[in-house]
Amino acid sequence: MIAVLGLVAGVVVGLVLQPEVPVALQPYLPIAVVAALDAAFGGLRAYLDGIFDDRVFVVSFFSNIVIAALIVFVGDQLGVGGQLSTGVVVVLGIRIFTNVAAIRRHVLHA
Amino acid sequence: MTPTRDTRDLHGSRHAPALLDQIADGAVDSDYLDVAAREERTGRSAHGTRLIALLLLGLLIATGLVQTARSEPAARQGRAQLLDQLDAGADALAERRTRLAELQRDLARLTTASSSLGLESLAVRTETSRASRLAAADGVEGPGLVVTVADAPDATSPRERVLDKDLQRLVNGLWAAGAQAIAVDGVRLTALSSIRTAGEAITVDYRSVRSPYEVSVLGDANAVQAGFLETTHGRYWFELAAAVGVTLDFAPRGKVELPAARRLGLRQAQPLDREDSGRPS
Repeated sequence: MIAVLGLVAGVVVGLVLQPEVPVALQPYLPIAVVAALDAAFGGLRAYLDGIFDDRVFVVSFFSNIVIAALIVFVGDQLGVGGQLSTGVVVVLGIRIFTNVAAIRRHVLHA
Repeated sequence: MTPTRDTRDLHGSRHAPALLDQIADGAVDSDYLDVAAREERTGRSAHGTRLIALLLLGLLIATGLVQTARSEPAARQGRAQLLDQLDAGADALAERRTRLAELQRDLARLTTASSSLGLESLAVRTETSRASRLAAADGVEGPGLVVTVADAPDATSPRERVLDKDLQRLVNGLWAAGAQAIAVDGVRLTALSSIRTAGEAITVDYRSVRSPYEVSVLGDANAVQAGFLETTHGRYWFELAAAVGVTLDFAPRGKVELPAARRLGLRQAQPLDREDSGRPS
């Protein structure tokens, strides 16, 4: 419950403060969000599976964000940033789908 | 996102599992499983880090939303600008196309005009050359004959000489026989030339000529000679030659050269119409 509160508080703070993202980092923000979402859904599924671990969650959360942003950054430097971010989004999207499906099975037993 | 190596090894298959299946299978970080298997959730108490991570997630989501919403108007403006440019370009293109069609129409019209002008100019040139030949405005050359007439040898009386009226009859007979151009002793005859007696000599266009008179004729030698004999002037000349001894001699030539007439009077000229200066009146 406290976790959901944290999420809501983060959204509220973001909407209220509207932090300015440096122009250089702007292309990586959407990818970072998707990577963070993936980590969050993975954590939620693990929680429902009863195998949740804070350390694993936090590490996977930050490493996901950093790796996703790094892949896109390297892709940008090589001139294939668009294609690489598409690939990252596809992979993360599939993982999110799978995790959400598992969560749905847990919650609805269907 | 570790690949499920175990399944592959288990089945002994050399083929990798389908990529998407692989991704879906690894959806839950195997770290969770590893940690769960190794020890019974040691870090359960660390709510703080979890909270920070989720707070950051919310912040990221909100920032992303705000960022997208903020850049939306600019993107829309750019799109609108592009559409405007597209419209303007299409308009310009249509304008150019219209202009092109106009120019092509003009071109077709001018081409037609030019070809009809070309025909007219050809007609004018033909007419000019015919007129200039008739008016003796230019020198001409071509096949023809030379008619030589002379006073009777040791003529004593004026009647035994070639008189101005004899030359006139000769020339008129040659004209009637189809001569295209005539010159007497190198003096080109026009429709207005005179052949007169002045003292001892005969003048052609006020230039004295003397016996023997060489009359150069441009035209078909045989036709002119035969035609001349059939005219009254021709018969007159033969009778004259027989009666008083003046000589008449026809000599066909492959090429005779006749100069232009010396005097050309302008009697029928009129100024060109300014409005219509390009065309013959």
